[in-house]
Amino acid sequence: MIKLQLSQWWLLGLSLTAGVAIAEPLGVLVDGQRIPVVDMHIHVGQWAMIPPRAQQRNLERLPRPVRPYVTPLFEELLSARGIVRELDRGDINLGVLFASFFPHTAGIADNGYVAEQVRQNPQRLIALASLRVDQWNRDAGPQLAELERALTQDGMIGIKLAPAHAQTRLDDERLDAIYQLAARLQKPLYLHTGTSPFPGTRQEPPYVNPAYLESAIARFPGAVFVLGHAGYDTANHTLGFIEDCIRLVQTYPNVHIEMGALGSPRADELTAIAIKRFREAGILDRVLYGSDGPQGPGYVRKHLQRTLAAMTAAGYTLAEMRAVLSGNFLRVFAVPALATNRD
Amino acid sequence: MRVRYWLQRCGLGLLAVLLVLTAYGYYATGEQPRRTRAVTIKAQFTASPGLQGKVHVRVFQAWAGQGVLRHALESVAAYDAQLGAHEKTIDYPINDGEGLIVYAWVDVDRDGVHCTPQRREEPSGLAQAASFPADVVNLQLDLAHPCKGPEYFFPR
Repeated sequence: MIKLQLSQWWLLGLSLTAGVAIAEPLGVLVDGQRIPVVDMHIHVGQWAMIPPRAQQRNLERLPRPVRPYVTPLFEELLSARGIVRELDRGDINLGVLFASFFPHTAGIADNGYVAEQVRQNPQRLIALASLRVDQWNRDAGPQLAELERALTQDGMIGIKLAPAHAQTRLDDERLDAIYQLAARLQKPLYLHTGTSPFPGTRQEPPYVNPAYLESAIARFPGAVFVLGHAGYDTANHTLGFIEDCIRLVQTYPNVHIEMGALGSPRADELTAIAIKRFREAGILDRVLYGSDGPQGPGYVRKHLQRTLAAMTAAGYTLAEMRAVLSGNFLRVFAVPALATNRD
Repeated sequence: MRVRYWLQRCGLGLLAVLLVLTAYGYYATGEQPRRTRAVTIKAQFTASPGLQGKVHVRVFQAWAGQGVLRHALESVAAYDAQLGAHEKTIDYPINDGEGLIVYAWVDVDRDGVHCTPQRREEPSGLAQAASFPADVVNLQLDLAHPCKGPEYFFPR
């Protein structure tokens, strides 16, 4: 017979508790029902791939004694392992990682690096590929070819663009080739709309107001457009171009909205207003959930909790919550199933 | 007694390490001071006859950044001017970046926005200093392309 000492009982108890936590299925519990969640807006990256002034902005958000150690902290948080840990804290089933090419502002996470992160946990991570457009007159052909190649990789389900970060107007017809590609490959396009607090981001309306994208939306009915951040003015904390986004969704069947950062603590009362507005506008079958995480430890979970609280306050039914939190994403991006367990 | 002795010693050691790390944190991560040089831009802005409106000007470094982060069109100054001859002195950063580009557009409807989805007639143009660095640059900008951002013109 095995005799356990007091310390060993402690360890056993801890293991069993952890085991229960691990066995807890993913998804959020609302009124006794478990609703799966897809966070379709997660950033990955490496410290060295961020421009100096964006590094400085990130450093200024940390306590000074921690700043010299930012590289390992940052890279752990924004790695596949760190992101899955954040997803676990929020009981989130799936995270969608973004490739990005923003040498002026937030930096570069190329398609290869992002695909590698997905490979580390393909049950919990999936990704959108991207391309550089800031030297489009010179290298449009090779960039498009590389994007098409990236989109053939496992786990690459769509295209991420952020014209304000890439210094490109939303009405720039030179980018039509990307929309053509998206339509041909049936890969939805996610476009950042609204302002950004990153230094160097273009903040003028032609770069951030989705109304400037309307011509492309109308000309490419076969392409699916997801308007990121729902036009949220993150630089000044106003709802920004949310009404333009809603109008485009109501006008065109190929337009959807993603609400990244609108649930952040900094959005304050705007979260409730936006969530309520989506329901009033009758567009809940076209709104996709995303957080713009991970930002910092616990942010992804807090964003989801604030969103759920706002949905409850606005009178969302369980079916409406399910649609926004995962159902719409699975339909739009043709993702067949979600992991239900943490491993 | 012995335990207390070692606790005291370790505690002091830990405190010393924390103090060193904190001091390092304070002094090792300061921002590099921005160094600049004065550059005078002498430009001639022309547009279609009869066209009127404030000219919005933005000055860029042609290229900035290192390695894969190297990019075109790093904004360094923005101001308003009028059609015709114009002169302005700006602070040009010299820590990083090279070349000088001036981009401008005419605010025909005076709304401060370069074209709307409905109104598409506000022309723009761009010129690059042929020789730079220099204390004075002379440029001619023909503002003839409606609703185009600087990225449309550069790099070619």
